[in-house]
Amino acid sequence: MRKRISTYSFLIVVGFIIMFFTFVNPRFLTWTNFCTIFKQNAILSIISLGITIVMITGEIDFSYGGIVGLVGAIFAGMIEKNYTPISVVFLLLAVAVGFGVMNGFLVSYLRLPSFMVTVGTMFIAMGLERAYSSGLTCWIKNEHLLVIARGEFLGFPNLGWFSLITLLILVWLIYFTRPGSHFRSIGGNEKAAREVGISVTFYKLLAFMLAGFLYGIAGILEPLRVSGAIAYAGQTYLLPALTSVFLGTTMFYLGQYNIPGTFVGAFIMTMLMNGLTLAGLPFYLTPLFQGILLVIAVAIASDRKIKQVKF
Amino acid sequence: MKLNAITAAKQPLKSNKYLRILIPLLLLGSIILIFGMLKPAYVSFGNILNLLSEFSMVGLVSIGMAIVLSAGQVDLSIGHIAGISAVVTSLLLVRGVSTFLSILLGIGTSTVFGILNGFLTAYLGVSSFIGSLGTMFIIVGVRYWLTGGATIMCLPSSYTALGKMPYPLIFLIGAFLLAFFLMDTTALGRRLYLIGENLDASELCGIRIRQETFIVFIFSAVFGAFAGEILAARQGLANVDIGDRFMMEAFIAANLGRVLSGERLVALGALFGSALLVFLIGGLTMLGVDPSWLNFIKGSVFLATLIGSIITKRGEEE
Repeated sequence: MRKRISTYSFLIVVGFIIMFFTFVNPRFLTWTNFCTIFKQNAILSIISLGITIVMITGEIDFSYGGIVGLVGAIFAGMIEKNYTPISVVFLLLAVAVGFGVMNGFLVSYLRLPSFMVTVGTMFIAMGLERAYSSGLTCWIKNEHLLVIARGEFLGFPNLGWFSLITLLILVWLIYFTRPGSHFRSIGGNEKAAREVGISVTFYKLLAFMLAGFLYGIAGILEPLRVSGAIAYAGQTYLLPALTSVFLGTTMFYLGQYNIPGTFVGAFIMTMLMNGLTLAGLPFYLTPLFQGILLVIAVAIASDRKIKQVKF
Repeated sequence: MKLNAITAAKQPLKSNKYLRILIPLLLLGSIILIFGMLKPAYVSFGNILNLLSEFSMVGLVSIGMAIVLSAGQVDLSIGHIAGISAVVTSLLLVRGVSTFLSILLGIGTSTVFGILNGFLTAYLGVSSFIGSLGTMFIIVGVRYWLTGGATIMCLPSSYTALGKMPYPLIFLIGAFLLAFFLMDTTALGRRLYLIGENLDASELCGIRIRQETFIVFIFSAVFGAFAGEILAARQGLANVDIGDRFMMEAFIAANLGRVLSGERLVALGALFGSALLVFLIGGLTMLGVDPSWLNFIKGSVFLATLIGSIITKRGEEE
């Protein structure tokens, strides 16, 4: 009963937020704005979904803070040097998955804590990005590619399609396939999963690889979205992505990291920013409200027990 | 516990209390020696003073962070809390408020956020990771609202004087003595250690885990606030995101201290950790290492402390 209240109360709050924003600026509830939110949200969603896969298995992944930027920088750089886009994409996805393999190897096989490993990976990726781009922004002028991010399909922005398709694939993968159930089992009770014969090491590695793949996609889309690879592009997503995942635990599968929750969480974060902008409120209110929202949501969803963080 | 070559080899590192102090000192000495040889300017009076000032600030936040860590929590917002204290103080100073009152109100603001963190973690059951993350967001919003993004400059000399040695070091030593006294002599400290080691057992022993967990966040906020004040005083101005870097450095230093000096020597370990970090980074900067590489190095040191703590933990488990 309490779980029902908690789940729905949050959605009710969200409903109020939507009503408030629409009241302040009717343009909020238009199809165009809806599309805009999806465009702004796409990359955050994809990254957050990647993190969620890892967190479902009980680990954490920070490496996106570096991988997204690195992939973006190399993508922009190679595109401008006229390498074939397809090969660049394949190369970079391989690189991103490679980072995932590294993470997975260190966490799964060497049993190092994922917090540290992935933070280390993030720094390494950031260092490599800096070495490649020297901190300069590389603008993309290739119109054909930019259309991928800017264009629309059936009246809905491409970026929006990307995020929705990712969501659907992941929902299918995590909740309707056996590997997905293995992920969730490992996250639920790792020892039990191992006892039942699930290869924990393999599946954790797989989770990190999948996350890496998604970071790679996000890393490629981001420069296309803003027409260039900005230095340390991944860092802007560092906190919002995590916040989206945490927000996700307050919905759908209360208390657990889950795919649809994360997607909606990311959407709410972006919607909040969008609404505040349309209301003409100063930009700094966005992090303020996102922080308040995060705290309230998690407080509602948590039991009152004190939790500890162990290193 | 089986007695064989392996456990015997692991014993000296754990049971020898003097090593916990000796090894960090040796490391520090080596760092100073090596950099001093590579660049004599490193050991010049001016540079040492600089490093000591930096050490004071990082040491303050590290001690705060270490106290929080020892209770099994984390305060990611400590950097932002340090910063907001400096921002509030600076805003008041340029409006002519007395130095003393400005600093008091700045630290007070930080304490409010510490209370927020403590309340979220200890009474609402929000994981401190998420809770302090939220506090970070909130502080970001608040400081932009207060400053409009502008840097506050031309801070009065009565304030900036506090940034010059020996004041920063005095603050650090004061904080260290307080933390040392608290954690390693009083019953409160012992309770905090116990909470960190085994929360459920502590609760069953009758320790009021909520109150005690709440307190650690006040400490990290106040210590952080002082560090922020020193930083603003030294810079002579307060930029909007002042102090943000402290979080990572405090975390690294506190962990480094835990690995080297063990989990029980919280204050001293944090001090060692910050000294090592500051002198190392300072030396590398002096050698002209690219600032982006410094991030990489900080990350590597962090990974190293992590691996170190795993190794020492595995040893204890036998």
